[in-house]
Amino acid sequence: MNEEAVVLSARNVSIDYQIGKRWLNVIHDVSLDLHANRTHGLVGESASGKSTLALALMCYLAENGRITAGTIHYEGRNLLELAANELRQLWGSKMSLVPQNALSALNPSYTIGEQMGEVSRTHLGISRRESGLRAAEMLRSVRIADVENVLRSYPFQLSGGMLQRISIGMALSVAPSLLVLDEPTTALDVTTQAVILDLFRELIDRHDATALYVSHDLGTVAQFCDAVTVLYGGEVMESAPVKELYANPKHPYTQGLLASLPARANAAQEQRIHTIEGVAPSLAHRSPACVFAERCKHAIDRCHAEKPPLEHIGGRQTIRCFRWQEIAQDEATSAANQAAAEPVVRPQIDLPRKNELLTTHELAKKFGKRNALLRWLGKEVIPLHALDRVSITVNKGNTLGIVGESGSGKSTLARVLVALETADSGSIELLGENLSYELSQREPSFMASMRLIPQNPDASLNPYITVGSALERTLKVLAERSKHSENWQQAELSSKHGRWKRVHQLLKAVGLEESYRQRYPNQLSGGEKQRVAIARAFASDPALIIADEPTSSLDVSVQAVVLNLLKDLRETQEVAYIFISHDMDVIRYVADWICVMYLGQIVEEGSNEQLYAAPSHPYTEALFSAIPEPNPLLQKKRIRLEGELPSARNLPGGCPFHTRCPRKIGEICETDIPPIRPAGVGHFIRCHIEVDELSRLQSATEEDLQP
Amino acid sequence: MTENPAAFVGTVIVFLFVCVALCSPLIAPYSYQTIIRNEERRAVKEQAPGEAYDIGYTVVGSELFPRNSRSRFGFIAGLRGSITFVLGTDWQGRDVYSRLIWGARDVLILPGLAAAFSVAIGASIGATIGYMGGWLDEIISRLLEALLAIPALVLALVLIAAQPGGGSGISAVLSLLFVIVVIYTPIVARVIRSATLAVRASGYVEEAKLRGESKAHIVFREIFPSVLPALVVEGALRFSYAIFLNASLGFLGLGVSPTSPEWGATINQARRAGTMSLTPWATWPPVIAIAVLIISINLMSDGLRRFFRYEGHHG
Repeated sequence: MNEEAVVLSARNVSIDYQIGKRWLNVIHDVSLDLHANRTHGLVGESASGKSTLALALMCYLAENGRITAGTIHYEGRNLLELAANELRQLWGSKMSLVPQNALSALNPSYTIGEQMGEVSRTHLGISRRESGLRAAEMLRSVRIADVENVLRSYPFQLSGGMLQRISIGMALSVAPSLLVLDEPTTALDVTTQAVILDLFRELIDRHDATALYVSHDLGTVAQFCDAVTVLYGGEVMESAPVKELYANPKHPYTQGLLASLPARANAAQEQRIHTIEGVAPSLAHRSPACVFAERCKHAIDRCHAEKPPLEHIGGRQTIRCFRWQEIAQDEATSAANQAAAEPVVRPQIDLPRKNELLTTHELAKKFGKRNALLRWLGKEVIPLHALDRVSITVNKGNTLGIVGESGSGKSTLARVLVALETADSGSIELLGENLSYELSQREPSFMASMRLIPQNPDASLNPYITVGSALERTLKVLAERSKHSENWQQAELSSKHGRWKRVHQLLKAVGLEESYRQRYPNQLSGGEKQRVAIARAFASDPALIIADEPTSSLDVSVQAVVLNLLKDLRETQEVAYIFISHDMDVIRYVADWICVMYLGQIVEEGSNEQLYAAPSHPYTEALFSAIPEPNPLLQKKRIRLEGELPSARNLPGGCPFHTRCPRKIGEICETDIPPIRPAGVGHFIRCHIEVDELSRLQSATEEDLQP
Repeated sequence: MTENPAAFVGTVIVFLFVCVALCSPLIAPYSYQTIIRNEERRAVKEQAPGEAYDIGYTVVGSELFPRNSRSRFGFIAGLRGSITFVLGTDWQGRDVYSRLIWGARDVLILPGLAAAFSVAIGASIGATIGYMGGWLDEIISRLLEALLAIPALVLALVLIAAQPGGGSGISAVLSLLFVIVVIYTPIVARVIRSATLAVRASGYVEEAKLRGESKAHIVFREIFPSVLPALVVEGALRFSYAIFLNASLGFLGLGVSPTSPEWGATINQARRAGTMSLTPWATWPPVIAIAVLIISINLMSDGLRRFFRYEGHHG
């Protein structure tokens, strides 16, 4: 097939959705080309319309949606003129979709074998026997080992990674010429995502398929795609080959988006992430001007008055901006000025066991202990080991990062610390005093000194209580009892007036206007909700804040704002953080000291610098490797973890990581608990391999990568 | 409300019924037990000569008198609708229209009270066991399930039979109230329990625990507003079920009083007298009224459900 052939070509497509009785324009004037054998990325933040557009390009719209303008040509035919049955024919045999959530896309009442068989019988017209063989063959091609067993399983019996393999197997079983991947790895853990994306890449290459890859993750797009289209507010901002777009973004939105990645800030050794001011536009009405003008630092009067056209600038690049040429010049001059600026040096951090704020000693927690009824019935319950003798130390004013996949026990650690879960054994000491496991037995002043910022701000704010009342209540019950703080004026908070004054200060501190006090949570955006949750955590002037994945439900540009805010508050409020995340880039940006957790154990601990320099634990190494570099020119060393995370009910003996460890040395890993090896001042690795040997192995992998 | 015209109509009709019940002394031309005597009929005849007011049957005991015959008992019965007696009179010579209007009180007040008590008691039980969990929840939940396992009507018959017999007046009302509350409380409790469970583990309840709020504050201030929609919808549903059960019991002769103008009882009285086909105009109005009322309440509760789910709370 000709490499340059255009498989699908959309011209000036606009899409409306009916909400209530109104028609809202969600996609406006989008044009893009998908080239044969290429993977085209469609990136945007939430509500940018990327999924809607991807499905609309297949001419697949929800009942309340309609394409109001434009043409979509696929292999020479205009899809918008096809009848429903012709489209159906096309969907099954020529175009396939890999959905975001395979579990909800597969029918729970049929086995995998039945569902895969049906697809190939319907669209390839082969017999039942042949379709069964084909299903088995497809599963083998997506590297599922236990094919017979999987074919007989129902979707809910399989893991997320397995289901995602099956859905791509199903999609490819009809040998489609166009494959639409709608955030196919968003629901998966980073290490699984890395394996799945490698597999997708290989399969797409082997099948000569053209793919449209929809994602919010700029890292995976950089590593996975050949060309990228950036959507914002339902409009194409910029479209370019991937290397060009990442190396030389032209649109101010693309520039802002890339700059807001923690990885970029880390690479540039900057103390703050660049952010895009303002909030994403509402879809309620289509602005007659540039959609990005409100947040654009380069905007001129013209940008606010009329909409720039989608301009072709050669080399398969399009851009929707009046000023892109001038901006490119400006950036060049400012970059030249910045080069002279001093690189920011990370401040010297305290070594552990000095200036301690919180320490835990061998903290342990099991779930699913036998309850009275089960004991009476004589039933055995295998407990789930969530935390296995975890000892951590947080120093005053420092940030301890805790990183690991889901199921590593990092959230349980947070919940045990604040006593939402009761620890089984071990000790928790805050400011030298031992804390009870039970919340009801803790001193209120300790509750005020250690506060939690939960993962999901949607759930942590009561929908029936205004922002102001929630903050005022927190001040009333908690701040009055706080004895930690010296600069705290108790008298001020005993009156309602004083508390409301403080509420305004808190709102201001997190960058919200005073008027937000009257709002209900459903009137706030995700980022604003998280700011309120942060303000609430800071209300009692705590000494320690435990942030449990505070930015993982937020868009990158919003994440940048929240991370900066947390960093600023650390300086001004003299607070320490325990920052929990699965994202190594975020942890690297915020943390001074890092603990890596796997199956309830800390497998490695060290300072930020120590951890990011070899040697490291094989699991840490794999975690680093799994985060896709948001730069198509850079590739990380490729360490992939095969297999699934073992169940915490049935912990592997010896080293818990031996079932997936790429550097397993032998039987000793399965039988003996690994020793804790010092690798530097305060840096520990729990592994059977000697530190020097790890260092040698890891630099060898590094060298393999060099061309 | 313009989004959902059916719910709007339903709500308006329910309010109309409530107004009728409140104002029945003002609206009803006669009392519900007034027997239209022959003298009155004569007076009517003089006022509006030529009106066909005396076609029908007079039924006394099992005897059926042909129309136009004079009753030995000095009252007219089975009068077809006319200008004076809009819906006619029943087999005993009582004004059907007046009885319908007076009946609205018996139909609405007792079930209304019963629904209110069921919701209040059920919500307290449900919220408590839902929030506390553990042994208390296990035991009370199983007890509620045991009550729910018995068909409502059977349970009602058993409970009525178990009560000291021959109750009249206020004690009969109380016993009926008790029966309906016992039947519907477990259902409400279970609904509220599951609504509570859904928010018990939510982030904002955990946050309230973390700032050391009391259990009472958490249940009433944090959880209750989220449960309120479920409570309101459940209240409306229980109201319509209670009306239904009350009418069923009335029809079975187990209502407050066998002679009450309550619509179920009215139908039963006609059935027992064997006049349902002879004076159908006296049977149809309560049947239609009860059907319209229950459908309207259901439309209203459906509207409430949508209102809460889609609009949320904006203060």
